[in-house]
Amino acid sequence: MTTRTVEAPTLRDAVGQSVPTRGAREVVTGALRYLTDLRFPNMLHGKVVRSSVAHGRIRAIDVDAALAVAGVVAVLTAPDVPLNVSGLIFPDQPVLAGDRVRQVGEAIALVAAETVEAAQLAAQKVSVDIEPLPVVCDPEAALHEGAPLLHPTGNLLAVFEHEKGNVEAALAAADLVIERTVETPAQEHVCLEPGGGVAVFENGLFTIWCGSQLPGNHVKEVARALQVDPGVVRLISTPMGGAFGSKGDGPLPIHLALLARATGRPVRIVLSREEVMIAGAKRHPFRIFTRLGLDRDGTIRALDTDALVDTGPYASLGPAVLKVAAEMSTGAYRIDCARFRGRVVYSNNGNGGAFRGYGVPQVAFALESALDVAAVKLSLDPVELRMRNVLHPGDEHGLYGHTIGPGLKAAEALHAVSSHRWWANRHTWKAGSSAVWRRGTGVALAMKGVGPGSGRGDAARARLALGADGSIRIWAGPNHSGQFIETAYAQIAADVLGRRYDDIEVIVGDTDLVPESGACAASRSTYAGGSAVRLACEELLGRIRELDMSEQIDWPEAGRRLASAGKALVESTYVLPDVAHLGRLEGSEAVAGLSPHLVYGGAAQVARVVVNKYSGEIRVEAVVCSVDCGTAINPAGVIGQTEGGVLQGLGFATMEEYRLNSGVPATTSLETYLVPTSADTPELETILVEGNEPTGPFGAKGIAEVVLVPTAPAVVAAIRDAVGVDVVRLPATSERVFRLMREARS
Amino acid sequence: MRVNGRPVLPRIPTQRLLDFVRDELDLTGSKEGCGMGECGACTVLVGDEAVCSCLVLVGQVADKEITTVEGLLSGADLHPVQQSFIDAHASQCGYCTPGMVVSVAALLVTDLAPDDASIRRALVGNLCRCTGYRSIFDAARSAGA
Repeated sequence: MTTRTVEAPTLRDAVGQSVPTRGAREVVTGALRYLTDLRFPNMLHGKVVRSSVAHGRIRAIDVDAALAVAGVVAVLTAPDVPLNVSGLIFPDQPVLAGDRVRQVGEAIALVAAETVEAAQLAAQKVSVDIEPLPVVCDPEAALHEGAPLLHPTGNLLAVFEHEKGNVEAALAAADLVIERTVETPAQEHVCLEPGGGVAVFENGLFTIWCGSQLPGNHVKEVARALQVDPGVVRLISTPMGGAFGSKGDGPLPIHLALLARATGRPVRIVLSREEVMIAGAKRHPFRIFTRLGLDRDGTIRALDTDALVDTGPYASLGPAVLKVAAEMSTGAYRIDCARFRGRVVYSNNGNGGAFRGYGVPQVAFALESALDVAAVKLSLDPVELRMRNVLHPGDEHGLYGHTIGPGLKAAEALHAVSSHRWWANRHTWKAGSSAVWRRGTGVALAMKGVGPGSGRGDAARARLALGADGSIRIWAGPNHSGQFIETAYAQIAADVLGRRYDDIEVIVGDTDLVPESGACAASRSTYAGGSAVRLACEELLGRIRELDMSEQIDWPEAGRRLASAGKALVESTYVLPDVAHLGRLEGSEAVAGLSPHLVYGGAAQVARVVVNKYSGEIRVEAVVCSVDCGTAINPAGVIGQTEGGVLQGLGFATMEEYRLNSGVPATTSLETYLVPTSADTPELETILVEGNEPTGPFGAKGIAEVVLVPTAPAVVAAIRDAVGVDVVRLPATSERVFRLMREARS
Repeated sequence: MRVNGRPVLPRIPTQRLLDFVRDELDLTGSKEGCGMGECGACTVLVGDEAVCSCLVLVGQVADKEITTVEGLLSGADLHPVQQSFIDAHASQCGYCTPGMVVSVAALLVTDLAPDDASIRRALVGNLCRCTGYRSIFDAARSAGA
C-alpha cells in the first residue's frame, strides 16, 4: 500500500524563522560526539614532539629512548614523511621539522603508544639536539640588512601595492591630514575544543576525523605529504567545537594519517590547550601607518595606508590576508585617491593564519580611529563625518574603483546605530560620569566582502536525492564549523521545494559524501552553500515539472518516476559571481590578483564605556551592533553570530594579546591569555538591517566576520570620549590607558 | 561513588574525575577545554555543587553523588535548563554547553529566579567563545521560571 502525502500549499515559511539549530538537543544533553570524543577499538594515542627553541638548526634527533618506553608502537621523524611539506599558498612548512626549527611549538616528531601516558612519556624522551640561531622577533628588524634569514628567499614574503589617483597630490591639497601609526596584536582563537582527531588506515584507504574548514584542501595536503592519490583520503570534518579560522590549515590531519599508516591501527591525537596556544595559528599582528586627508567639511580626499604584517615562521595565509586587508583598507567609504602598500614578513613569532575578519579588523582599526581623530579636529559629529563619505550601491570602491553592488546597506547600518538610544542619549549619559568613573560613547562602521572575491572561480556544490518514499536528502558544503550551517541549508531547501523543514535531511562535513564546496570561511557558507542548495532544489523542481504531474506534487510518486528515469539524484554548482562592473579596474589584467568583491556586507556599532580615571580600568557597558545581512535566513542565528563577533571584537579591543619574549611564548594558557567571560560581557543589542542581496539565496549574504570589525574602533573612540586619550596600540588594556592618562597629565 | 544515580567503582583513585567519566563510563558530554579549571567545559555536579571535573581526583569524591550533563535527563525528558538552552538559542558550536548547563542547573538548586548578578557569578568560570553570553543569560533566567 502506498501512502500519499499531500502537502499544504503554503508551506514556504521556513526562511526567516528562528528555528533551533539542528543538533541542539544532542548538544544540551552531551550526546553529540565531537571528533575528539571518538574512540575506536584497538586505538593508539598520538603525541606531537615540539620544539622548545624559537629558531635553531637541528643537529640530531634520538628516538631510541622513546621507542624503549613500554607501549610505544611508533616514533616518526622527518625522514618518515614522503614529501615533507605543507602550506596552503606556498608549501614552505615542513610536516615535521628535520634540519631547522623556526618556532617554539613546531612539530619535530610523532609518537603513537598504547596509552596517553606512554605517549606523553615517550614524547618527553625524544631527544632533540638543537643549535640555537639568532631569533627574529620583530617584523621591522626582520627586514634590516644582516637580519638572520628564515627562508632562502629572504624574510620578505610578500609585497602588495595599489594606488588609485594621485595620493600625494590629494594629501597636499587637503585641509587636514591625520597621520598616525597603530598596532594590533596577535589574537588567539581559543576554540573551546582544543582540537584533535582520529585516523584509520585500512585497505589502502585513509579515514580521518579531524575538524577542518577546508576539508578539500586538507585532503590534498594529506595526499601530497604521504604521496598517495587524494581519492584514497576521506576527511570527516564535523562536528567541531569552534573554528573562527583556526581550522583552515595546520598539519594535524597529516600527522594523524602518518601515524595511522605507520601503525596500521586507529590513532587519536588530542591537543592540549597549551599546545594550541603555542603552535596554533593567530590573527596576524599589523603595524599600520595611515595618512588621511580631509576637507574642512569632512569630505575624505585621500587615504594612504602602509601595513607591515608579521606572518611568523611560515607563509600560511599571510599573502591572502594582506590582499583582503588592502581591499578593505578604505573601509565603507568613497575615496577619490587611495593607496595601499603592504608587506608580509617572516619572523620567529607565532604563526599568523586565518582569523574571523582576515586582515580587516586591523585595517579598520587604523582607518576608523583616524576618522575619529579627524572628527575631533574638525569639530564634526563622528556619525555625520562617516555619513558624508559612506559608500552606497553604484559608488566606486575606495581603492580599486569597481562598482559597489546593489545589496550594500552600510549607510542604513550606520543610521540604525546612530538612531539607537545609546548614541542619541550619549551626552546626558556622559554627564552622569562620577569623579572616578568617566563615561564615553564611541561609534564605528565596517564593511567586508562576502566570499574570496572575483576572478577565483570559487564555487560551492550540493547533491540532492529524492527518495522513492518522497524523502529529501541533501549533501552540501561548506560544513558546520560551530554554527550548524545545515540548519540554514534545510530552511532554504524547505522553502524552495515547498516541503516541511523537518522533512529535509542535510549531511555536511564528509569529503566522500559531500561534493567539493570550498572553505567554510570568508562569510561564504550561507551565501555560497545556501545558493548551491537552492540551485539543486530548483533543478529537482524542474525535473518534476517535466513529469507533468498535477500542481500538487505527489513526492513519493515523483521520487519513483524520477528514480526509474535515473533522474532522482541532482547535483548543483554555484559559482560565486564576479564584480559586475569593473569601473576604474577596467582594462586591468590584475583583477584575479586583486580579487575585488561584488558583494559586501556592512556593520556598525555604538559602544558605551566607563573608564576609571585613576586606575585606567575599562568596563564596556553596552554595545549595539547593526548588521547589513540581506535576508536573515535564521534571525536567531544571525543575532548569535553578531553577539559572538562583538565579544571577540571586545577581546581584541581590550584584553587579548598573544605575547612572546624573544620568540618564546608568554601567554600559553587561559590564565595568562584572557578572553571575555560572562563578567565582561556588556549589554548587547543587535539590529538586523534587512535588505536583498540579489545574488544570495532568498536575498541573504554572509555576516559572520564583519560583526567583529567595528568593536575595537568603537571601544577606543568611547575611551577617547571618556578620558581624552588616543589609544594607538591594541588591546586597550587598563595599563596602557593608565599610562596614556598619566602622560597626558604631565 | 554514584554517577548519574548508578553506583560505580573507580579503580584508580588518582584518576581525574573528568577522565573517569569520559574514558571509563563513556560519558563524553563533559568536555576538556583547558585541563586547569579555567574554562568550565568539564563542569559536573558533586552533590549539588558545580565543580570542574578536571581538578578533582576520583579518590577525593569516592563517597559522593556525581551528576554529569547526561544525568540531568529524566528518561528522554530534557531538564528544564537543557530545554531553555535550546529555546534561547544559547549554544553555537556547543562545546561549552554541557558545562554551562550544569552550572546553571547548580544555580537553580538554590535560586529559581536568579538575577543577572547571580547568573554572572554562577557562569564566570564557564567560558564560551561563540555566543557572547547574552543568550545564555536568557536561558538561565527562563529555566527557573
